This record gives sequence, structure tokens and C-alpha cells, in this order.
Amino acid sequence: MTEPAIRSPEDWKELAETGGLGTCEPEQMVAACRDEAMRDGRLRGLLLDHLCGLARPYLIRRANKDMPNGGLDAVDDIVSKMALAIVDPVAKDGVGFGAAFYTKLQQRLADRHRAWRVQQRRIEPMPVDDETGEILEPPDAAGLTPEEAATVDDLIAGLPDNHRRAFLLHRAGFPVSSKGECIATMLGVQPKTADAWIKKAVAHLREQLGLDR
Amino acid sequence: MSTEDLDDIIFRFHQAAEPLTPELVGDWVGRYPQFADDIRAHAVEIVDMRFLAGQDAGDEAAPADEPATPVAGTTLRAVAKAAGTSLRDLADDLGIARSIVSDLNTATIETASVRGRFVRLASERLGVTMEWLSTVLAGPGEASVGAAFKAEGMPGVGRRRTWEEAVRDSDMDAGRKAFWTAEER
Repeated sequence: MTEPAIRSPEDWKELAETGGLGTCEPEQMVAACRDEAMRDGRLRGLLLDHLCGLARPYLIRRANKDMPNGGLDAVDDIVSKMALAIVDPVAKDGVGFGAAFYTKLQQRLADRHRAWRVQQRRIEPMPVDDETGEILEPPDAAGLTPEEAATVDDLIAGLPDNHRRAFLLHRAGFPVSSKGECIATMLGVQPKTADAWIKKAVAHLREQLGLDR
Repeated sequence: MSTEDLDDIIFRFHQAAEPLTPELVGDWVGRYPQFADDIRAHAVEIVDMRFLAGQDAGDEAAPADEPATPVAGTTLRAVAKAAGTSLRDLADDLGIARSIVSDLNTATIETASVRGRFVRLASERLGVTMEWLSTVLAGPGEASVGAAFKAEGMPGVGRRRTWEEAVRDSDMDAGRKAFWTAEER
């Protein structure tokens, strides 16, 4: 693997002034910001601005839009903390951004999602038959073919949160329930619940696609 | 184990989750059973975030997949929105006057006079190729709200300002004006 070019502050200054920062890996810019040799505060600011400009759209695309302000509050907070961590010589996240910039952002956004879900505690009640108390199963919820599944991303995005996550895990190959990793344990619900969520998702998608007779 | 170790492990899990499979999750849960719930929860979030992003995680430096040429009538505002930003934020990110970006959106700047530096930096920021962005900038642009109330008869193309005029008339300082009017080597 080719080692990344080692750039001096003068190199970075020239790149910043000629608009060449886009040619550099963000990890290199993080390392430059954290370098003791970087004493030019204005230059460090330019590098940080560029990194923030990379981080924001990356996070926006992945943020759950049901979060406050469409997820933008979380995005702004993560980006702000990222910038502080990068210039803090003792911040572990600063090291992390220098090792894998986008992966660290992904981790921090996942943390925010989890915290938000804990706050929300959104658990969809299972539909239950009033007479028998049995959990109701959606009718005729056969699985989608790979071709059908490949064309329904917009429909998937519109599913209720729990149904979407269950369906995505199902599509990623996770079993509903098993002794190993399964959707039920990953979502922290009973296997029947996970199964019902997937079937409801599939039934909804098939209905929207007009596949049910 | 301390919370700090959990964070390290979860970070490494995120790095390893390319791709994310049941076997991978099982492997990590087996290695760190005390963090099983955290690992599984992050696995779910990774799957969800990747779906929301609409693409495989990893190569964020490459431009997003786009058609060979933009759909006729695509505006700079639409491109910015697709990139998760706005005209205003695009201008601020690039360090250029908002009025110039706005004028590019409404196609009131001579396309041929737009500096290659702007096209390059904006395309990098928006995650599209320079050729693709150039095509957008050469398009008809977004219709001005006031035009419908002023026009008599068929609308035509009014006089467009050159890039130099737009930069000169903007509120940027002399240094920024020089930066944006310089020709790239």
C-alpha cells in the first residue's frame, strides 16, 4: 500500500490557497491539524473548514430525519465536536478521525441514533386478536424477489422505523431467530415480533407495488 | 471494562463492518460478549444508515453515481440539495459571495466566463464531476420569481453578467475577489 505523502505546513498552505484540498484524504488533513508543526491558526482553520464541509453532507445523508430538526441538530453537534477533537491533542476522537475519518463519523452518528431511540422508546404495539389474544399475522405476506426488492428503496424508506430496520436486516441476510445472531436479538424483541414486523413490511411493499391479487 | 474500551471496540467494529454480515456480528459478539448488546445495536444502525445514505459506505471521495448528463433543467439548487446542502451553505463552504452562487443558479452569469477554479471546487464539494456541473451551469437555470410579473410577450435571454463583473460587484474582500478571478494553471 502506498504511504500517504507527508506534507509540510507550507505544502498545506499552498493546497489551501490553490483550492487543492479536495485532492487530499481527510485523514491527512486531520493529521496536519494535529501536527505540532502546524502553528498557523488561519491555515488550521481552513483545513478544519474543509473537513467540516466533508463531514456535514456525509452525516446528513445518514441521519434519521425523524430526529429533531430533521437530524440537523445531531449533525451540527457531531461536526462541532469533531472539530474540537481534531485540535485537542489529548482527544481520543481526534486520533480516531485521523485513522478513519468517515468511519468515526458513522460511529458517532450511530451513538446519537441510539440515544435518540432510548429517549423515544418507540415500541410499536403488536396487533392482537381481541377474542383469542393471538398475535395477528398479516395475510399472504410472501417474500419479495430480489428484483422487486431492488426497486423499492423509496417505499422502504417510508416504512415505520421498526419495520424498516427489521426488513433491512432481513434483506442483509440476518435470520429472524436463531441460536446465532438474529433479527430478534439485534432489535431486542421477541422472535414473533420481529417476524411480524418483517411480514408487515413485506406486505406493505407488495401492496404498494400492486403485487397482491 | 471501562466505557473507553467499549468505544474503541465499537470503532473497530465499524471499521470491520465492510460488509456487515450475520457471521461478522456473531464473531464480534463472541469475542466481546460483555458488549453484545452494543455491538448488535450498532450493527442495526450501520445497516439503517447505509440504506439511508443510499449507497455502500466507504468511498466518499468519489463522486456519487450520476447519469452521464444531468436531466435537462437541473438547477444548481437541485444539485446542492441532492448533496445535502443549500446554495447558501455551498457559498459559505467555498468562501464565495452568496450572490454569485445565487446568480449561477438563475443562469444570470455568462457560463463561458465562469472560472475553472469555481467549477472544480464546487464539483468536489457537491460530489459530482466537473463536466457534469459545467452542464448544469450552462443550463437555463432557475426561473426568477419576479420575471413572471415583468415580462411582456415571449421571455428571452437578458444580458448576463460576466464572472468578473459578478465578483467585482460582490461584497467579498479584495483577497477573495483576486482568488476567484484568478485563472488556474
